[in-house]
Amino acid sequence: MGLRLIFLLTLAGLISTSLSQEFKLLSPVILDLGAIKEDSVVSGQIRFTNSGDKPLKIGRIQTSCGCTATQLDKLIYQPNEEGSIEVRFNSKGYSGLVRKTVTIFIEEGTPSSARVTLQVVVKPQLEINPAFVDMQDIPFKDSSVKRTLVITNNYDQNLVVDKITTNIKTLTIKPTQFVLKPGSSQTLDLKYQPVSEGRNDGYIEIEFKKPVEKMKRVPVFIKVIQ
Amino acid sequence: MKSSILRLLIIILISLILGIIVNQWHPRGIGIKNLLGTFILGSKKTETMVYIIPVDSVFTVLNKPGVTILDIRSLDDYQLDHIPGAIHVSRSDLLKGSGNAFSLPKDKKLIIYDQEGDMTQVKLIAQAFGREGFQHIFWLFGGYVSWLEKGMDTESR
Repeated sequence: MGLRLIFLLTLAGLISTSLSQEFKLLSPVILDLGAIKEDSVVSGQIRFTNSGDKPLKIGRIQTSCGCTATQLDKLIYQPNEEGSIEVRFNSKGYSGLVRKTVTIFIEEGTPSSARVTLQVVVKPQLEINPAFVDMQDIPFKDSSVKRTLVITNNYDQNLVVDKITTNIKTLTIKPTQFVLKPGSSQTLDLKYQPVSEGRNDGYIEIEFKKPVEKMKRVPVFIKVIQ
Repeated sequence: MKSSILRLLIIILISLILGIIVNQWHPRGIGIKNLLGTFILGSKKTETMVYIIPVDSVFTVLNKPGVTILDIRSLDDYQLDHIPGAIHVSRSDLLKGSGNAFSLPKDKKLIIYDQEGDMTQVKLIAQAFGREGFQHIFWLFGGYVSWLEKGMDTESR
């Protein structure tokens, strides 16, 4: 009986030592980096501490995309020592809310890995509303279906729309060329003529010349029913 | 000359078979049913059944009977937070034609979302559900990040 108790106590002791969590995050699991403009860089800190009683060694850090870079000054942390990982997010090519993950792999210590989600809002300088043109469930007998798209210029200079095209044959767009003053909007009138039943998805391409040369593609989802 | 052509054909055939085997074994591979569906059955039939919907439409049907929301992101992402009431399903299970999602009633309206609304997934997912007899499939445009962007409520588990 006594032997069994000693055995159980030793086992419990062993389990509790091996489970002592050494890597402890001090910053939240969702690290909010705030709102930034397009084509800019924002940085933040992932803070952690070694809450165990043995030195902690970080193996490597992995990010879910090339847009996120990380920097760590050293790999080994003594008990109770705090450390931080600098993260930098480049918003080039992104718009709206973006979430990316950073995974920290721990070589010596527990847990074997920790995960932090970065959250950034990239404020688009060029807004297109709605995000897609919805023409699903349009009856075949309709001779033409109308929708609108609104383009807003959030740049501090004139926005030149050079060309608007589509790969959908019976979709017409007006206007296809215009200049937008800072802070102003332009409504595009879309008209679609159903040709056959079923899906006829496609897109609209809007080419901008100034202030930067850019092309935005807006999806058009079309489904014609009987 | 003839034998070299034959040899080439055999090599191509073996590579094809190996490719299909690796695809079955790989965690992100496409199941044999879906693969056959693409080549033999064609996708015309299932193509028409997915509706692309914006965040607002999902919000209006939240907690309504007859509607099930499926989260096909990683389990880590799901556990962090998700659309209230959403069920997590493994994307690789779906594409392999297995998993808990297929045991749902066939007349349910299924709203499916991933992290960023990757449109290349829509067809594969439509095929997977279409073959199982599901009629009403909806895909959230812009994915979970567009849900967050609109400042909608989330749930953590």
